Amino acid sequence: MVHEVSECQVLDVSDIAAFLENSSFPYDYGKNESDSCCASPPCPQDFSLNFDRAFSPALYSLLFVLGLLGNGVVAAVLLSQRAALSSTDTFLFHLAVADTLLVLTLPFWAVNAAVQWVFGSGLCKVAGALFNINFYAGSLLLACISFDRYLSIVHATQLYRRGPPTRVALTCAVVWGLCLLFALPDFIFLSAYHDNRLNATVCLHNFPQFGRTALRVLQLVAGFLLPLLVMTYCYARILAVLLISRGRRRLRAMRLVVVVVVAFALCWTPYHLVTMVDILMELEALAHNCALRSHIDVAKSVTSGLGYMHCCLNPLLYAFVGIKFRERLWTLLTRLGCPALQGQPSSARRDSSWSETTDASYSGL
Amino acid sequence: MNVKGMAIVLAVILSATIVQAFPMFRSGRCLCIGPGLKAVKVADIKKASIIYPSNSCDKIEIIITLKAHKGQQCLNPRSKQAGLIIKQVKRKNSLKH
Repeated sequence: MVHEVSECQVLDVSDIAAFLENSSFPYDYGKNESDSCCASPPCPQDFSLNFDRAFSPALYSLLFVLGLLGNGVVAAVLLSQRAALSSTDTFLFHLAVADTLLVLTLPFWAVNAAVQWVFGSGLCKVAGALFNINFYAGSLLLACISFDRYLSIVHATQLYRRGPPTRVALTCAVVWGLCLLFALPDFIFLSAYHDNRLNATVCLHNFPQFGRTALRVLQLVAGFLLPLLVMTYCYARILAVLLISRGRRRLRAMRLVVVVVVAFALCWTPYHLVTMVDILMELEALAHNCALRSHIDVAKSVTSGLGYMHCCLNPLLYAFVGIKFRERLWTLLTRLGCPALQGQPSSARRDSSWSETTDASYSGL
Repeated sequence: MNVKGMAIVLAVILSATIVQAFPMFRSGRCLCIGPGLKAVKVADIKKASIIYPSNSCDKIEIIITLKAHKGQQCLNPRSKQAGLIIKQVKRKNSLKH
């Protein structure tokens, strides 16, 4: 509650009384304003904090398990291949690593939501930076994949195929290097400190509210709209090409293309819509009251959880939509010697027949 | 065409450098909505809390707890009464130290 907030200064009854005696306190003009017509009660965050205490740990635990399992399977299947990885497969492997590392920080945030930040400033910097590094790595790798496919299908120029395999490795190194660079502000500004409004220790960038609002506007435009635009452009051009040259395999390929973009949009659109409303309220451009603010607080928790879900979604997409992935997983399981699976039909198709048309093997392109 | 595509990818990469705000790093927000009351009846004041600006809210906020379970009210920090309360708090603090 508000009056229990520390790091704020409190005057109690005796102070007020003493104060009234020796000052010319204008207490007559307040009579009308104190009526219920002009009430202006504070709007505590208790409701959303209580919601977070239950919802976030449950969701993050689920995402932790799902993400580790799913991305682990993807990495295992990719590494079990005898042949060298194609460029898209290499990006997918790095994507699985990025998603796994991101998911590994979730237990910290679960405890943060349930209690408060109890791990100190050092771990705040590390967990925060790790989270952001892998968030960026994920989106950059998705951009790399869409760009790679765009070049190979629309322009029939394979950026990575003809060059030495080090070119793919170099691209990945650049991606990770950039992500480390992006995480520099986290290492500098993230710290654990006591917040006098939440009355709890938080792990937060140590700069004022205004700076954060500005950054959130940028996040909306640059972190969501621009990547979505790039993905939509690349995949729209791919679809246009694939629609002209018909074929069953290509129709199947289109299905995954659509699913990838829709998944990205579905996971992140709600969060960014809520953020937009929140920013407008903070700037007082939108009429608001306490009930609305509390709803927005809760909506932020729910929709950001949906956003994090995206890092567990890729393995599921490949498993359910990518036919080749299923075949390879089956092969891997039989090779590992699951007796129940012995004798089951395995892939009759040779790998080469897939890679001929496009370079995006796992996706079933 | 390749140049155009490369430019798009580069733009995404550069824009990502600026983006540094994530919902994980949840923070508090201002507790008072709107400007707040100009004054409250002094006889009703049980307690006055002053919350100074922090990373979660740029504003100074004054929350008055009223007597007889009449709840809490936000006082406009720019009002004359708020000014007097802040002055009193400062005086009290200087006496302490």
